Amino acid sequence: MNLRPSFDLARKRKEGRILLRFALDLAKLQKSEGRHFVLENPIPSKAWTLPEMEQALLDLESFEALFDQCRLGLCDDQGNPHKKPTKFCTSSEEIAQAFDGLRCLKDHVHRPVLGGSRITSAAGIYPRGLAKALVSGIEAQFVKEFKTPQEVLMMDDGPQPELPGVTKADHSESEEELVPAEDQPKVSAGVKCWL
Amino acid sequence: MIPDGDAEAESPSLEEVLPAEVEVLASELQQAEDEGVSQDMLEELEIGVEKPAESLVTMREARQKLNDIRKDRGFGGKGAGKSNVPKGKPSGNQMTARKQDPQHPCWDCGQPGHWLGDPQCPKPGAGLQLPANKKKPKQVKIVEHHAANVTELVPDLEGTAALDEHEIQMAENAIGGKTLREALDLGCHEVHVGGRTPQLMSDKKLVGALDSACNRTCTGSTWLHGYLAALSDAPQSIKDLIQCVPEREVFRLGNGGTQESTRRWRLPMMVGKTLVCVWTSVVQVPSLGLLLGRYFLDGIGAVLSFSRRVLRADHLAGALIPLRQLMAGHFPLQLLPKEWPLPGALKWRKLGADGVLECQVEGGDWLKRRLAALQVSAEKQSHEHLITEHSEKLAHLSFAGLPVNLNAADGLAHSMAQARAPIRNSTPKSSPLKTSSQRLTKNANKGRTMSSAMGANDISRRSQSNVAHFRTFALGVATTLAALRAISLPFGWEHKTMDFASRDDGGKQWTFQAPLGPSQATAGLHGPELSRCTMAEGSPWMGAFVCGGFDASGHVAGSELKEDSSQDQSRRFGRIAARGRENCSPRQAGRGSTKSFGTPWRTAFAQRGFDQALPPAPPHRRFQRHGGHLEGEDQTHVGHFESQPCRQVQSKSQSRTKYGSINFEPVDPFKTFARSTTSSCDYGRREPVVGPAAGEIPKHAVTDAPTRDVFHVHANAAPDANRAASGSSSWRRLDEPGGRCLDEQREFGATGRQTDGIGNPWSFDRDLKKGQALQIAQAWNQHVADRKRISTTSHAVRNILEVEWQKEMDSAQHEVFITGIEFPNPLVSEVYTTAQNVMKEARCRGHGVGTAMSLENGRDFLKPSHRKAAYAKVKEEKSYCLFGACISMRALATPDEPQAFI
Repeated sequence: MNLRPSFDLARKRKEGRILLRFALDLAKLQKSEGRHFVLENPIPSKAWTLPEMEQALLDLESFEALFDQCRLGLCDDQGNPHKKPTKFCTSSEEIAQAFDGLRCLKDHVHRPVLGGSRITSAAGIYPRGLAKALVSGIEAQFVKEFKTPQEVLMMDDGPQPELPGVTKADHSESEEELVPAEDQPKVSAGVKCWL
Repeated sequence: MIPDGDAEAESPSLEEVLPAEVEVLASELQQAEDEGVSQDMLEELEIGVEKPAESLVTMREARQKLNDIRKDRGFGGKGAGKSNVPKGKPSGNQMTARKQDPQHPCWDCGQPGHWLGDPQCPKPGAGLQLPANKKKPKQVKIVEHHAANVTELVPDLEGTAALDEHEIQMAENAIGGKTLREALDLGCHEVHVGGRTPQLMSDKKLVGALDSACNRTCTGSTWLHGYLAALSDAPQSIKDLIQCVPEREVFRLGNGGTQESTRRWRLPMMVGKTLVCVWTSVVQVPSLGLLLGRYFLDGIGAVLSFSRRVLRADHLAGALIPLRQLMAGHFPLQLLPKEWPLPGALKWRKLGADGVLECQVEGGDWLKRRLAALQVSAEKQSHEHLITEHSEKLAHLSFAGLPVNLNAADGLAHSMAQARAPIRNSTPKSSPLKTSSQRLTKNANKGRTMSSAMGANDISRRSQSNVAHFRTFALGVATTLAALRAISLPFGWEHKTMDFASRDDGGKQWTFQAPLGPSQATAGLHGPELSRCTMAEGSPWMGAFVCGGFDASGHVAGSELKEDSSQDQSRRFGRIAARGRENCSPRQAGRGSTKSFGTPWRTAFAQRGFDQALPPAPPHRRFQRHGGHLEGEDQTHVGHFESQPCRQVQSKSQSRTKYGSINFEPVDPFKTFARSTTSSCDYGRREPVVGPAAGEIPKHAVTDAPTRDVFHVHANAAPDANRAASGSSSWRRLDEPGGRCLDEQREFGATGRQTDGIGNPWSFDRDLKKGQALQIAQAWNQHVADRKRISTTSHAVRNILEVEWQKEMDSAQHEVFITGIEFPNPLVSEVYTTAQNVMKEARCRGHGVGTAMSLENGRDFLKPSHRKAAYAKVKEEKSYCLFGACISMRALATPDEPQAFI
């Protein structure tokens, strides 16, 4: 965490918005082609509250998952756990279900991610548990969506049903487009299968 | 020209002649067809030939079957008696003559007059004339008193191999005062020395082989000793169950030889999870394991699945017992548990035939099993069911003492008489080869015996308790109910009674014989069948009924009825019977032929009209199972019936007796019967059928198809709800597969109902169209065929369903539920991340991964070109999941926004 915000914060925010828009563009691309995306950021991140982010997540019909990475084995080099509350916004229901609710059990002491780049950089690396859970979630999502050729033929294009226990992002505002209109992918809400 | 005896003896048999004749006839039929003879005529001739041909095939099959049976039972094997003497072997005088022939001397001494082994031989065992290939030395030593510490050594003989087998008979008899022969009889056994001693196979030890080919349970001595040794480790309470009693039973073994058992042991063993005691006979065959015979299998209620290789003992715990297969092919049953349970406090009761099995069961359960076993044995004689639901309902109504409109019975009997193929025809000259349709058209108005129409009924369709109940009740109200019994009997109520009566063709077991004198018992009824349908003495209604109605064999004394309906009934009966005996041949009289009596019984009933015979009961009357209401009601019927002059009745309905146009005016609402009949057609519905209210008109009137348009079914009392719910459920359930015909009936009923001007929907009066009678007959035949197919008990149906279900489960277990799934490649790509742990993990799992795009890989997304390239890369790679961390967004957090801090 940067405890010394730069003096050129406005510039950095502008750069950040560029990166954010690009990330959303990639997410829209994935969604439009029937694939999935996962956006990760700390829960307190300002990025989640940006209007373009909220609007994009609304359009993408994404699922949210809030968890603490201490549950997934994030710790420093001395074995002290870092809490690092994290939020996933993903188009994958299975991934969201795999992570959502994994909050700290409060049976241990966290070490704050403070103390310079040596500590913060290490905390930025995803723990093995998170990687495992994420890949497992991706696999589960694919298996869930897998359909035999006969099922594909019988597949309808109706809207996806809402699942209990999974909250959707509900945002209404939007801002400028990060990608030119001609490059904006068309998102089809009814696509269910990757095949 | 008269053939002589030799020529007659050499004449070909029927079996040889028949095929040739059939071929000749076939060629002539073909020729006739070419010449233009009508197809109907040819068909009739062909049908006539089919029967003898079938008889020939049946005869051949029977011979083949008999040969198979003889082969299976080991006839002709060792010790089978005189019948098993090999073909060509002399016997009797021939053998004596051969013995005297010097060309056939004794092989031991070489002298004629006797043969080897005969007591006359002076040199037994010498073998002087023995052929070279039969000269085998045999050493037999007989030891009268054999000490335990003496070892008999059998020396090798010169010129013989050491492996040759010698037999030593040893008499183990420690009791003095017995002769050698007695000792041999009691305790001798063979000892095989130096040869191939048959041993008990290892897989037979301590297990019981299921052998349904043998009734009794037996074992060899070796197996028994091994099992007793194994039981030595069992608790004392288990050991106390062992018993031994002397026994002398002859067992025929697989090689044709016989063995006699000397002991019968009671051995405790575990069948599944149940402790039982099994009585087994012990024979001196060392290689014989325990064979659990059919009595044992019956006792435990065994259901064996060869496909699943499991045994289910219904009479025991009921759990499935897995089986494996012995080398001999038997399925063995593990008998020794890992830990013996303690015997309970219940009494040990014998189960199964011959008391082969003893279990600790309660008295009630034991009794149920015994009754079930009896029922199963009775099922072996079950056969065709021709009791329709129609007759069943009538039976129940009559059983309950309710008035029954005989129009329904008339039509029922009519339809059954037409549908029954091998029926006893009133016209003996009628060809048995005619089809049912031909019979329908030609014999529609001819009388038929109801007993034959009812056919042989299945005794197993009612439980023993029902019969007991029925008899008890019947004896109690015999005087009153006898009349109703006479009505219901031809309609087939109480199948068992009918069955009993039809078996011995005399009905000795009929309950109502006693009240009637011998003269009355035969009066008005034909032949020996009459005794099954006797009547209560002094029952005027019954007398009138039988006089003008029908007898047990379905005939009426129509002519007598016309003449002297007002005369005394007993006199009338006597004259009718006498006249019947005069006019009929004994055979005809015995079969209840109507040749001398003329009018079929149903015609007479049609003439009488049902509402005249049995007036309807008041609408408010409801069903009472065992009440005193019968008497008054019956008296009402009697009086009403008696008041009708028979002659008048006949003239009234003579025009209606043509088949298909009988018109009966309906009487008071027969809603209950119709309702109950309708309910019997509601396949699959098991809920109790509650009788409707007295004034309620049923919506559907469903009766048997051939009779729907002919008559109406009438009843005027509510059915017994309990009976409809439980008592009738069994047969109703078994009737379900015959739904096609009944569906047709339902259709038929829907189209056939009419409403007259009075508002009674049960009124119906129209003639059958041309061909409709044939359709009805076909439907009825199909119905009969369906019923034959399901001529089985509910228990058997349940077993079949269970087997089907198990087959389905077995097949499902072998189905392939795993479908190969090929994951997309690449599965995942990371953007904005540093270590790419997710991609590493995916790679470890064998997935393909995409390109990582971050600052470490030289991708600066602040540059439009890099973003464009990355966008194109993602679009090109088509990773299934794109994982973006957006690490740079952390820079957007500021100290004045505390929520942004961790």
